Amino acid sequence: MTGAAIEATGLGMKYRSRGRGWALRDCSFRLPAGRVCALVGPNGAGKSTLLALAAGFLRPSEGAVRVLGEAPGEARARVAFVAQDKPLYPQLTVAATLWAGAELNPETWDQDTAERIAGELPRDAAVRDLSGGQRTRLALALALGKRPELLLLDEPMADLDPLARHQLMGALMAEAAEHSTTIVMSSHILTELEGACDYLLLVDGGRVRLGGETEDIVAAHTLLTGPVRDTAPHTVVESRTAGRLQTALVRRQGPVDTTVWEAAEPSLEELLLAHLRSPEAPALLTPSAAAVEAGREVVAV
Amino acid sequence: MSALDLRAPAVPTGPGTGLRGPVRVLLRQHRRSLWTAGALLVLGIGIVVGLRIWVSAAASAELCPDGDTTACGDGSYLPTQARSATEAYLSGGGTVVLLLAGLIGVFVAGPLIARELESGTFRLAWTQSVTPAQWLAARLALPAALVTAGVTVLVLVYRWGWSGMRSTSAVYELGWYQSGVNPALGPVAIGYALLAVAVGALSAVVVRRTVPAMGATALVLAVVTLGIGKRRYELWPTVRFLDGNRPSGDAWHIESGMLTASGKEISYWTDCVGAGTVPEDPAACMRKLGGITDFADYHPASHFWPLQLVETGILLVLAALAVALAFRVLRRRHG
Repeated sequence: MTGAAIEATGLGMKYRSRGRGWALRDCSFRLPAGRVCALVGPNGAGKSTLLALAAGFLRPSEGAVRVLGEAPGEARARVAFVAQDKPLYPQLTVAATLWAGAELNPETWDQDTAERIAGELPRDAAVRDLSGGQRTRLALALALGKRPELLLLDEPMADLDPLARHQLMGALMAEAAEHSTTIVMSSHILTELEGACDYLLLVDGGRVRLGGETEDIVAAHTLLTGPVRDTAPHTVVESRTAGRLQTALVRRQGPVDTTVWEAAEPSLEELLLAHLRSPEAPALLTPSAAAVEAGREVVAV
Repeated sequence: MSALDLRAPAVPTGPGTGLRGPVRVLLRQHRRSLWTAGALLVLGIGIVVGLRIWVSAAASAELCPDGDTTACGDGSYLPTQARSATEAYLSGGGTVVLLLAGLIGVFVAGPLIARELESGTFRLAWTQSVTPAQWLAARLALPAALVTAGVTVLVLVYRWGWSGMRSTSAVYELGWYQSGVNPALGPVAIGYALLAVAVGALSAVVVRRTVPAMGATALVLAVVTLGIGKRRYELWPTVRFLDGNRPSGDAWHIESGMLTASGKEISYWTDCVGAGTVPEDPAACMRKLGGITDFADYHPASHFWPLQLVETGILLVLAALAVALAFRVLRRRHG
């Protein structure tokens, strides 16, 4: 078993001051190191809270999260996080921001990587004068410049035009492949991440609904089309009837009776939408994504 | 790019020595405020030096060593304009130092800490390998060091200007004990400045919003400063003089009245005027109440240092409490 980049057990976060109740509840999952993981879910699902907890910005209300085998606060030097609003010091120039990255990461800073990601950003421009896309680029340069083992990106591409998005995503993937960095990218737009990510976490209503290798998750489901009748023994995620025809997305339990059903593999988007539309569908974590139980947690600490 | 490369740290610092980077970045972030602070310091020094030069330049009009421009010892005293203006300005030196401390506290609370918490830029440092504790420590250590150095210089310069005016017995507004003078004469000034830094940090991490944190800091500092200022005379026991005796030198008169045979104190103001008696001859009134001998309580000039050190000690203890609390609040919220 390879090491876990993120491991959450019973993780929960409740915002006291905002009166919103639980932003995240009873989350247990495991993200193996070296993966590029899409963290998807609707707005307000708890994606940002999960990332903030993993980055060590918040103290969980219950449960625990471990990052690269350590408490989030201790793994700070090995983790980079780009928050949704791309926090940067507005009064500093681009060059001074990169200089600050070098100052704050004396041991790991890689100026070449940072310069490469920063690309053609005007070095003497003040951060407050940059456009949203330019700020994203600079924030990513800062994050990659510190050579993290785990890179957490909250809605990283939202401010970018398609061309810049494609280019930055390419640069990101190249860095990840070269240094086998684990990346977690959150988004509520799946198409932004599809193709780039080999791992999937679906967070919805403060819980992890799906977790595991994208291929395995897709392969575990089948889209059945046929007469209106019980789909047992398969677990139904979502079922719709139109006249005498039923379409059901099921999690297979044993072989599909192809004499009754026409079976097809769903697309990732169909799969996610079906889960989001059916909040009562049971969660699915593939073996690599299932958290190690408390009793077996001997490797930790 | 070569300028940038030169500034990159040549020697990697170990994980334990983690304040150098954050402090350097902090200096860069607030370069403009630093220049302003430096300019204020130079201005303060310039004012004191300028006043002293003005006084000595005007000395040719003085006929008497104590600054009198009329004949020496003829009963009337008329100082030069330079002298009276200098006395008026220097008599506010302590107040200026206290206001300066307030300004420092408000700056630490607002632009230095709360603004980062409010706008979210604290996360930049925290994802760049800086722990929340280091982040706060840098924001406390740097202003504390700069403020200690700057205020020490101001105090020394002020003392120099103040002592130059003390050759004359006719200066009334520059007593070491006067509330407008005392805070600028010794370590108390540093105590107030450090307390301001600590209170600013505490209210910033508690309130987390720029303007309210600045307001809270100003309020707390005003209450503490006025409170201590009002009770400064109680910080060290006074010395009692009987039968009209008084200490030599520049003493701080605190209380006087008469003592009864049993040793009870009678005060003209509380026991005669306060009791509703129409003001009459003070001595006669107090004698009627049983007073047999005059007393007067003073802080002699030798009490300057004990009073300063006790007050400084109180301020530093308060500052340490505020700092400890600030770290605790930050830890509880962010782990």
